[in-house]
Amino acid sequence: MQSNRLGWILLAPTLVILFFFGVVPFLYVLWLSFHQWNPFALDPTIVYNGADNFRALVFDSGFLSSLGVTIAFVFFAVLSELIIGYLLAQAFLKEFPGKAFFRTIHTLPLIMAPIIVGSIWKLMTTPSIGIIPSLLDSWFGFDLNIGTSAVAAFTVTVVMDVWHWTPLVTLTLIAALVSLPADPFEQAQIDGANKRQIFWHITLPMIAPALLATVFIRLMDALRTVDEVLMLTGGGPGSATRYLGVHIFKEVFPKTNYGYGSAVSIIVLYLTIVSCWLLYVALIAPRNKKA
Amino acid sequence: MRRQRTWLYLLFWIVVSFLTLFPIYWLFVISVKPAVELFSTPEIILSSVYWKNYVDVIYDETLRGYMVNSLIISTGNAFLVTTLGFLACYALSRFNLGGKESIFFWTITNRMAPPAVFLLPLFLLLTQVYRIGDFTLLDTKIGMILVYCTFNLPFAIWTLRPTIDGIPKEPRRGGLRRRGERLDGDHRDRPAAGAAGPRRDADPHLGLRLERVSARRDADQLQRPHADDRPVRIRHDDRHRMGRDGGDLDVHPDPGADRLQPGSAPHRRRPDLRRRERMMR
Amino acid sequence: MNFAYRLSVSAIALTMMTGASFAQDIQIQNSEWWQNAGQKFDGVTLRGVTESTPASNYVADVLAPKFEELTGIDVQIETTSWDQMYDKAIKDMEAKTGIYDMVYIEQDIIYAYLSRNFLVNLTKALDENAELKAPEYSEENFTSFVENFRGEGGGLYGVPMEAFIKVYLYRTDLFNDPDVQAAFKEKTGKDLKPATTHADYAEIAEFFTEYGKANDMDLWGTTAQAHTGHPASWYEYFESVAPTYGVYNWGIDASNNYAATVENGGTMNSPEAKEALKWWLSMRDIAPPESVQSTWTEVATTFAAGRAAQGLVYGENAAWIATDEEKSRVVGKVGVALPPLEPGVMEEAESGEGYIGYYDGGAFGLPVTSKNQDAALLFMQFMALPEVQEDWAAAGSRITLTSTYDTAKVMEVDKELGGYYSMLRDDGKLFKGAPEYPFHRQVIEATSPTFYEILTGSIGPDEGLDMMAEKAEAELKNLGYRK
Repeated sequence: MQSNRLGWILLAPTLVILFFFGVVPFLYVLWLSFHQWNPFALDPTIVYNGADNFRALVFDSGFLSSLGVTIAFVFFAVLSELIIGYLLAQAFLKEFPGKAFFRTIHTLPLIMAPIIVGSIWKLMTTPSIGIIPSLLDSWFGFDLNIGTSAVAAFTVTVVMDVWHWTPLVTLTLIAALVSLPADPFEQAQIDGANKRQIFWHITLPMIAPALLATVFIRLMDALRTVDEVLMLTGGGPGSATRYLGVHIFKEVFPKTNYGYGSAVSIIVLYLTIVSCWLLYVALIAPRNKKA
Repeated sequence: MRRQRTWLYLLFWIVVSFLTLFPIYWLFVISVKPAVELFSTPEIILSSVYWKNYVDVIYDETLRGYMVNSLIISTGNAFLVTTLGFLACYALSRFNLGGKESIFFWTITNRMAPPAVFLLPLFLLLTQVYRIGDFTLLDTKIGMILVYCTFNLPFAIWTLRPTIDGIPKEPRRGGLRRRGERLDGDHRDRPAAGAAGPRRDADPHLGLRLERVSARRDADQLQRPHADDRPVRIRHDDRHRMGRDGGDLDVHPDPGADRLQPGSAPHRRRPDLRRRERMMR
Repeated sequence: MNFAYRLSVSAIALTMMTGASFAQDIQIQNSEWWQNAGQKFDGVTLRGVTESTPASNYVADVLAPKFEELTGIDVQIETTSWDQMYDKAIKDMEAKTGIYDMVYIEQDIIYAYLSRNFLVNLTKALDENAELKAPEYSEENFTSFVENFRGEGGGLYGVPMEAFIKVYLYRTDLFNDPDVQAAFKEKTGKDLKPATTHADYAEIAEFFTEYGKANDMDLWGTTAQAHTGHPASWYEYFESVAPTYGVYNWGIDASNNYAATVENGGTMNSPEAKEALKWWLSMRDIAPPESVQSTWTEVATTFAAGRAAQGLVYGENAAWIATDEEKSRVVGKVGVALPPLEPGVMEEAESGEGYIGYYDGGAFGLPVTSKNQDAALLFMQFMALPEVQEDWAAAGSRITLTSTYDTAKVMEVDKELGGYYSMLRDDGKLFKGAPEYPFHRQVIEATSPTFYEILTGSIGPDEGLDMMAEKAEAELKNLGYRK
């Protein structure tokens, strides 16, 4: 039995870094969220204003609409990524020539920086001169205009996110699927279960932990997406793609509204933690009870 | 029939790869065009190549400086994150640390913060608070590396931990140093696991790395008689103890598995390897 | 393959040659003075941050190395995006870190910086340190644009670095084509010439958009900087279009408690402002389709690609559009004119009451937090030397010293550009920079979401401007400027 002291020593560097670069800034932001501070206001100093920022937030239609589109974005993006990622992971379990090659190709989007992904998709979807609108127009006569159509811009951001992040889901699920034992499946087959039943009652529960970890990561990353969307649409047209990350960015960088931006961030952080916790409860807790 | 299916898979993957590659291809197409040609009706096939953009990039001294910065910061960060992440996971997995599950969950909350606002305190801290004598982290690469750790360490811990959990800790010689040695043992003693394992098509890609590790983890679990042979009830007790952040990890084969999937079936009985062999074939 | 190889080798050779020729061309007078002045700053590194524009890149690539060669002071200029530049500079000055010894000040942010006392009074600093004052440097040399950077007591707080006006560019090849002229005459009964009124401009724009469609050309009648998610569209309307309808300073009346709504005495939602917006939206509708995603850069590239017959284009891009074969398809086919106006606006501009368009530019300022202020003063003066201006003007279409207008290269480009520099010199006074407010980006960000909704059509222009005026007042109240 190794002593626990060694364990703490091993853990210490991580805790120290996360404390100084994670917790301390968080405390500062929390403190700031109860203050009014805009360095270009008539009074550029930091002034305590109680819960005013949070009160204003509830009536801020910009924030609320941003919250709405963000939830829609996260829902569509993460769900599509899970479904497509799962199907591709299943397909990778089969044997076929050039498997390693295809898998390499499939991981390529993962290595690209978000800002570059945003640029590529902007270049591909600029109305009339991007390749995608141009092809859609000449093949189907469909006018894809991310500068005027809210639906088009929203869809393109979702497709872009799916293109960028599905490989991550695929890779994690391959790992989970490969490590599944065969017995339960055989038993189920003997008992006459059909494919759908096997998926819902055996595969899904068994890969749930891996799935959950993936959903966690994707959920929290999608909730704070900034660079790609800012690059692609700037949050437009109108506020159709002004996701929370973009909203906060615009509050904090151009508007230098630090106090209010901090309050929004705190709320977003809180919402993220709560939604992750809800997911945890929904997916894991009922099964605990059953067991 | 089988042959036909192979072709179907191939076709499927060619289509999927095309979709994956197209944006990257388009990035290349644009990189070999003069700026003025971007503003015209695009053509899919590249008809002429214009290398000046690349020449400009290569000869741009400022940009080269930025590239070196990126290279140093990203490799430095990757190295630091992997090392620290591994140590942390090892500690979380092998030691009976009080409240460690809470710590584990807490690490990931660091990644949830919307970055825009947090840049301000980070900037202030790095330039004004975290200083030793004349030394500040201001405008240093190590400062950037540490900042990136905030976002990347939790990710590393969350992806590494199941793997580390999966490596069994043997009472007489635990620890990673002997991992390779032990694996050789695996290979010799249990040819089925080794042969079915992923080594056959090992490649350096990320995908396979994940796959290989998980497969081995499974194989290891299967081969541990004292764990596999235990009756279900005892595992139950283990789980409850684990739930209170305790449990004797020395006799526990796979704390991660129990923690995350307490009700699921796979580890209760001894599964055979046939399914995986089929999958790998 | 072989061809590509040869191509790349020749391109490399070309780049090296041009790079080399730049550095050699500059002859600094009185170089001993600079050497002596630089001696005591041995080992000093000056850091600057600026927006990546042709003029700034010239500072980073040519002037900085030349200065180091002369004085031994290392100068590192970061060129980055507009947002990043502001963020870096403001954080540094706000937190008093002292990273930067020079920050780029775009004309519209100077009032914000001055209100926070971020910058050193250069006039005063040079008076107090006579030994640092270069004999060839004089504030007298600057064009009138320098007045934008004066603070209390007339002290200079920035060395003008670039300056340009947003002009009306048109395609001379199309406007002078007899067939086109005949077609235009037939359709409208008028002669085709650059417009002076909004009605004429609209007529020409409609004609060319139809002409492009009928002849299956990628040609439209006007440009529009109408991005639906980027403040570039906001700027185009408030700084280039609204003034031509007589709505000045964003429709905010600073002397009247910063009123923006008509009922409080502002003009942001005045009938003229609404008419201007509707006219601009109608022009946007017949502009190239990419306009809804265009900022200033894309507008310039659209024009350079030959996709627009006329348009309002930032002058910083005018030179390369008219002369650079690698970037532009309309080399030698570009004419400049004053923007189209409503009746009466020109008279107001001439009397100094109003203005007809946007005079933009920027300067390098010296943050009070800089740790190398004396060495930075030397570089500031170096950038204002008459002898470094000529190539700089050719590279970045910017002129900040009166003497630069008479240099050979500038006169040559002026001819190709249809007299842009002459216009800058003679009519520059009709244009004006951004209003003297310390709250630019705050008001823009507060009102731009509504503005984007107007652009997408989900809010009508009339009620949209009403909402914007109210939001502007609310934000100004919030910031404490409006009582």
